Amino acid sequence: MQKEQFNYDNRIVKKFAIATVLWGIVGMLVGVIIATQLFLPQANFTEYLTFGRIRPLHTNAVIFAFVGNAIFMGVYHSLQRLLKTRMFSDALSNIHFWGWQLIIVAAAITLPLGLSTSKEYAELEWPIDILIALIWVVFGWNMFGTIFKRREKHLYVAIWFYIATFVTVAVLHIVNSFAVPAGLFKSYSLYAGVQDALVQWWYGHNAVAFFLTTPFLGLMYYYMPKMANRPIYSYKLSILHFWSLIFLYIWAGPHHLLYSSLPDWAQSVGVAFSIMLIAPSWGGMLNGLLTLRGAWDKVRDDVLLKFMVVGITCYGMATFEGPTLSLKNVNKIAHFTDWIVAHVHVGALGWNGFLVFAMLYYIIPKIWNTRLYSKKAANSHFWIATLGMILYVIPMYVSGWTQGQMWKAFTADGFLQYSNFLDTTTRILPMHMMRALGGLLYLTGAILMAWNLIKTAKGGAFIANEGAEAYPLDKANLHKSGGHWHGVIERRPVRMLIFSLIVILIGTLIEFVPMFLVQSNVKTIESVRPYTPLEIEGRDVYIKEGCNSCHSQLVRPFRSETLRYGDYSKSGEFVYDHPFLWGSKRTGPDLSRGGDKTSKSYKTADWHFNHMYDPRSTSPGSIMPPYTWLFEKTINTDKLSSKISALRSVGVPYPEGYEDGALDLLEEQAKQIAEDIRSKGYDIASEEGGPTLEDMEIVALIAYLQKLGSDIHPTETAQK
Amino acid sequence: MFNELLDKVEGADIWMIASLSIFLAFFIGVTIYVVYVKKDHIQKMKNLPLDQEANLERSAI
Repeated sequence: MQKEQFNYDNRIVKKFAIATVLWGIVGMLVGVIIATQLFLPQANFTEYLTFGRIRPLHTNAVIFAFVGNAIFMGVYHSLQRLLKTRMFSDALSNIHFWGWQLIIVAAAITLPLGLSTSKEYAELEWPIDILIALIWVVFGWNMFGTIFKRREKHLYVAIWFYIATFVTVAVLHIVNSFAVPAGLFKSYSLYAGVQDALVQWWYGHNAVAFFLTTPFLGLMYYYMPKMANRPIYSYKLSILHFWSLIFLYIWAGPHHLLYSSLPDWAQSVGVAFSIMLIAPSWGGMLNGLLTLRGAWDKVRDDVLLKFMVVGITCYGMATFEGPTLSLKNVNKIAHFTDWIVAHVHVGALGWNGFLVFAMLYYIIPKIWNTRLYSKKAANSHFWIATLGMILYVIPMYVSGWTQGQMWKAFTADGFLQYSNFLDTTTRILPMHMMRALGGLLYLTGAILMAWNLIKTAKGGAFIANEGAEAYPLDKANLHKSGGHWHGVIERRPVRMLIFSLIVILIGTLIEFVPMFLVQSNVKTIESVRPYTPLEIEGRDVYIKEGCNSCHSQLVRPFRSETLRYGDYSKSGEFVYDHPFLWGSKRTGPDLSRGGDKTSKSYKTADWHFNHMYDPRSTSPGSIMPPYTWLFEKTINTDKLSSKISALRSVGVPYPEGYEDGALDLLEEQAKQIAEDIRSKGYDIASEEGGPTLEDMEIVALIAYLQKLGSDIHPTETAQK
Repeated sequence: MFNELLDKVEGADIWMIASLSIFLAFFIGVTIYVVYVKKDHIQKMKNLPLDQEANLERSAI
């Protein structure tokens, strides 16, 4: 048999590499801006750049633009070499690249405009969701096409991780994105309340698992041996931890919903599997680190290995911390605080960031056929980034622990020690300043890297098509029967895909089916009524402004919370919530009892009016930005009819024809609220041609905020 | 504590036991494979990322 000549496509690797660096810097820059906004509210420039709107821009840019492009860079580079073939189709590669960049640009435009679904890491609206699904299919098509025309019989373990990533992300994205449109950039989730929460955190947690972890483990299994020039420590361990990891990860989502109104059994399943996850996660970490056994001296001189070792160690720390945080007694302190922010940044800055930097420093000189321009600058980058990460993470741990403890502190007489939430906010501001400085350092390191890589490329000659040769695959023997059952999966990519799919569907179905089919899992409450037309519009303003980025709507069953906010949350309260808005962070207080007059957190319409115009007038020391544009804009009722109809089709029991009288109902309720505010002596002079108080968006938002929790004690609320 | 939680939901124990059994069965299956898999196969797989360059001749086209 004669060797065949072929060449690798480096152009697509180059494109994804450039996009990685570019979007990485953008994502980190937005991160530094939102970090600054958390101690300097004046940094919320214009309505388009408030924390609520650009926090999703930061998370999307970092996860899908920076890390996403890096995954594709690594996959397109390693896949060709592991399979000894060029990518299946240059055209598909390019459609994939430009399609992905189009999605990123669409996100960068729509999110500041407030066009958001509010579901974390899935904020993009339905037309973009469809585009993501299509481009993801193109990626899979190209990957499988390449696997089918390979010259290497066996699929190396890295490729298993790529296949599992492809199939699981597809399932996650499609299931979580089901929604009914009420306009081109407005839709309502198919699921409501506690069910929506379960689907969202099944998605959210597994976005971490199958976008930020499995592809990176695959990349680690390729680049660690390449960089250290020695094979992976244990291939057997890689097989074991691959299957265990993908089997266990999919179950762990409910640990994001501990002490919520999600049924106890689902929470317990989430906790149990989260604890088990430590084993395969550490299997991966140890396999990566032990590859360097007997060669640790190399780490002293090799900056790539430094990045890899710290990155993999961060993976180990984050995956030890994850199961710890899923323990209920730890979670009750950490949840909703900066501790979670610290946790995700150990993963994002350490594991993902450092591995991406190492890959870039490895790939760029290779495809430009040269050496890295400055090892010294790369070393400086390593130390700046490490210092930045430490300066980011440690203050966030201190801040999270402080806030968690302050929320729960009681006086000797049994009252809340810090009954004013703001006491806990102002205490942690110095930590937020240090965190911003840490982020700024990390960004500086990335800019230094960009300069170094540009210099490297300029000093080399780009090899667009890298020549190679290999023996053709003996197709007659490829699918020969016999051998061990696992060996058969290893050689058959489609079987690998199907097995991976089955493995992830088991956990998914066992958690979802009872949740959706067994009535007792979502107990209804008779007094809970659907939102009125004005409240629908107000809720959409809440979503548009991203209020859920800082405020939760979930009171956990602790005395410290029921005393501060009111009754703990029950699943029946959320049956009309498409989507659910429980939030995951309490930068500000919980709002779910703001309309319950029996609760301490009840707020009057005029309080909201003043607070939203100038938060510090009612809450000295508040870090919330003013929302003055809500006093300039008229409530947009153009889509009211289609919104009601969309909500009806996802299960909200609005009677037929409710749309017809909706506008009158809206105007009537708005008038009542406006009169209430005026009766307290407040009003706002509208500019010429501008709306009067009853037509302003602020009134819709107040209607929604006052609806929250009002159904729980309807009689008392009506009496007062 | 777990009994107390499980008692509240009818049939929840079945899901818990089923999920654990399925995982254990799969895990044991993969473990058995890993124990008995041939050494030369593992060696070959291990070296896949590394041996390719021996076969390749780098050249700019």
